Amino acid sequence: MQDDHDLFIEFYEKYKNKLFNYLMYRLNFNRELSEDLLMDVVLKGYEKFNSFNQKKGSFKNWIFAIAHNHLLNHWRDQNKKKTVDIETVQLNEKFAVEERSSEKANKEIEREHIQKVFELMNDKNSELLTLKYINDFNNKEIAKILKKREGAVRTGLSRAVKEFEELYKKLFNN
Amino acid sequence: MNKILKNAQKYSVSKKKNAQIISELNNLKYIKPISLTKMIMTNFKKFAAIAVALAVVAVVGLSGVFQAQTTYASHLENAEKALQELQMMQNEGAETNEERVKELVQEIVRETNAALVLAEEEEGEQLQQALMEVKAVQEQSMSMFQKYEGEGNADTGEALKEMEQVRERVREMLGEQSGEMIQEQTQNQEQKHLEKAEKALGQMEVMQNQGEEVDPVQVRTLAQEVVQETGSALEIAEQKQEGEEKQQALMEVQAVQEKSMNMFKNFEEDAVGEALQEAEQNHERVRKMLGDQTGEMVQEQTQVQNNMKSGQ
Repeated sequence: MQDDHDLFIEFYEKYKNKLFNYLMYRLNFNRELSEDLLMDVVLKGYEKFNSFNQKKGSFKNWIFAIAHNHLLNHWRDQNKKKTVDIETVQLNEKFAVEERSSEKANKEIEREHIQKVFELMNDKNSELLTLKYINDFNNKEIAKILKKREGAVRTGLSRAVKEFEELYKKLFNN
Repeated sequence: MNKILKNAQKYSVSKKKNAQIISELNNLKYIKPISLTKMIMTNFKKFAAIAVALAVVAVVGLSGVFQAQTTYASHLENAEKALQELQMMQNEGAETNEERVKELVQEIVRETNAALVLAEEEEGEQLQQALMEVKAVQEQSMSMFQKYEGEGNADTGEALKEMEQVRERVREMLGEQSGEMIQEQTQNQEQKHLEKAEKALGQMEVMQNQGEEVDPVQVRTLAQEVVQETGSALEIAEQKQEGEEKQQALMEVQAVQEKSMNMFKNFEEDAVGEALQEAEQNHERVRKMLGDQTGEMVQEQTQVQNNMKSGQ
């Protein structure tokens, strides 16, 4: 018979990569920092596991809400904002593209483009896109995690897609 | 653009970090015991000896491997096994072992809850299936708990109440999911009608670009198809609840209507006259719904304003 500790580890195994992807996309693909914060989130989740109430919602929403709040606290403590600017990315891209295109498959290049756009996006917009397209949450779940109305999530998402499109075109479709 | 986003890179936690996290969790096990089924756990929590704990941590730490690939189904099996034991105890009719009943009830609650967490990870039809299976075991358990509650077992009463509330959420999810699926299907239908209209419009454009004499019957058929398909899309859009989504759908219909009207004007009136008239009427309807002002209204207003000015 499993005990609750084993159950938590089972849930962790199930969600670790989803959480990790959420953190990677929110932290400019900084693997080391994302892994450190993943550990913080998981340990916080473990400590709060007693307060997880299945009547109120799913484990997935609950643990992602912890991750979301943990990130906000992290940024508040660091007082850090995105520092990458669009000109730098365009310049880097200009020098890198010829070299890579012959070596890497298009898909890989596209993935790098996506990441560059995420790095430049407004934080709120990139979080919405991460939850929707990287973590595959539906609008209702996103609303629960971010404690927002579903309508606000829908509007926010269309704004986020627009920003993504504009940046993507500006950087890579010229 | 959505397609591009779906191709985005997915990452995995490194093995080293994974082992470190599990080791940390195992360390915490003996410092901060946790409970998923907190209600009737207190009397049952048994702590392992520190020596055993250290040994476990060492083993996990050394191997760095933890296999926990249980699925929701195996948790349901565990719950069912406990249920069977409860059933047998009841059938035997002997004096009830209160402690064992408590243990089994606790196990059933924990296992069905665990099954639900993992079931929620499934997608689409499988999610529906998994939720239905969880719900079935929850309901089986609830009816068993009711029997024990009837015999005066207070703990099962509490478990029954808890499970009923979680079951309610499962029912909601099942309801929500089918609601979402219907919404998605409706949205798809609306898009399909618009796609068909645009396909017919594309054919008309090809005919126009060829510059040869066109077959009026063929033009009429295509124009009618365009009007019919946009009309069907409009009907679906009209049925949507007031709000942003409806507005968006109407705007999509309006865009195709405007494209159609422009296209129809390139052909002989004999062939497209009727279709154009119908398209204009539908277009007017959409404009009204979207709150746009028609050309006529603007003209009228301008005239009134001019009259007022000349009167002054």
